[in-house]
Amino acid sequence: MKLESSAKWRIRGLGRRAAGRTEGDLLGEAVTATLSGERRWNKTKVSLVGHLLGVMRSISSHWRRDFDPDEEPTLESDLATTTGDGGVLRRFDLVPSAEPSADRVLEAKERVEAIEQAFADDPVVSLILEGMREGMSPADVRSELSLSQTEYETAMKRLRRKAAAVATGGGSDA
Amino acid sequence: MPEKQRDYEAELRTIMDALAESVANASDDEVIAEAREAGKDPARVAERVREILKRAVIAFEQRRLREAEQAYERRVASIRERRYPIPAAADRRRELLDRIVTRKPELGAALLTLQNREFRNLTDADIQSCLEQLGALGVLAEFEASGKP
Repeated sequence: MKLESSAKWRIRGLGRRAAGRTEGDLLGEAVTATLSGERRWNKTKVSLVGHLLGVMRSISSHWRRDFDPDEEPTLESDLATTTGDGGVLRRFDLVPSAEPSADRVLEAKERVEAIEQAFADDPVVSLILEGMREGMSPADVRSELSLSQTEYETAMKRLRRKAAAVATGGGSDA
Repeated sequence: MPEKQRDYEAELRTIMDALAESVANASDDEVIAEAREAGKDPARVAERVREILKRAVIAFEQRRLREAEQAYERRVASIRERRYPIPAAADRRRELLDRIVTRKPELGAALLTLQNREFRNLTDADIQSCLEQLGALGVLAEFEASGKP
């Protein structure tokens, strides 16, 4: 159950970067990576479920980078060549823009705002969301808000439950 | 001063990743309760996850089997492509096989069935095949190097 739930959030986080892949694909790939030895399972330190959760985190991150290869920047000057008539061919002009498309941004905006709206009367979750908006890690958010682990997890539980209802999309619920 | 433009895609990703992380710390009971609230049947979800795991294991095993088959086929093709010092004339091939089996009876026992030990029933193609197998084993090179053993 945890595997399915975690995979679902990862796929939703990828949005269109999931490129049609489902939580089943993510979990299946995590199993394959483990069986092939590409990802080693340290049985003495972590359960199989814990291991697969970590592998899914890593694979989804790879999928995101694969979708946005510009995260490893290439200088346009490296690619510019002189044409036969003395002009300069800028290869970036031939490549579709890597900028997020307007509908992708709009979709993300709507989903983020729906989540924020759903927690307008929940100050703890609202502050957690604000921390995330600032790019803080969950540990930093917890520390910044002086929340105990239990308080943080209770708030995240509320976030999971409502977000499941308002932030659907980007993956299969099947 | 204009407000910094929000990166909604990054924000959504951060929230979803934090939710994925939070599942790891949730109790099984909580995860089951959340599935029920979302209108899912936990038993069906668990069954589906088991099915995904099983399919991934089977696919991996099949992939390994395919890789082993491909490696075997490559080795066989490589052996077939090799050229061995086999005489062109059929009687010389028969003579060479006779010499090898006489000198190395253990190879004869491995290659030939009992009724073929006298070579009477062996066709030219059988002898060619035997010599190719001996070539792949490196036996022909040994006979060639020592001239006429």
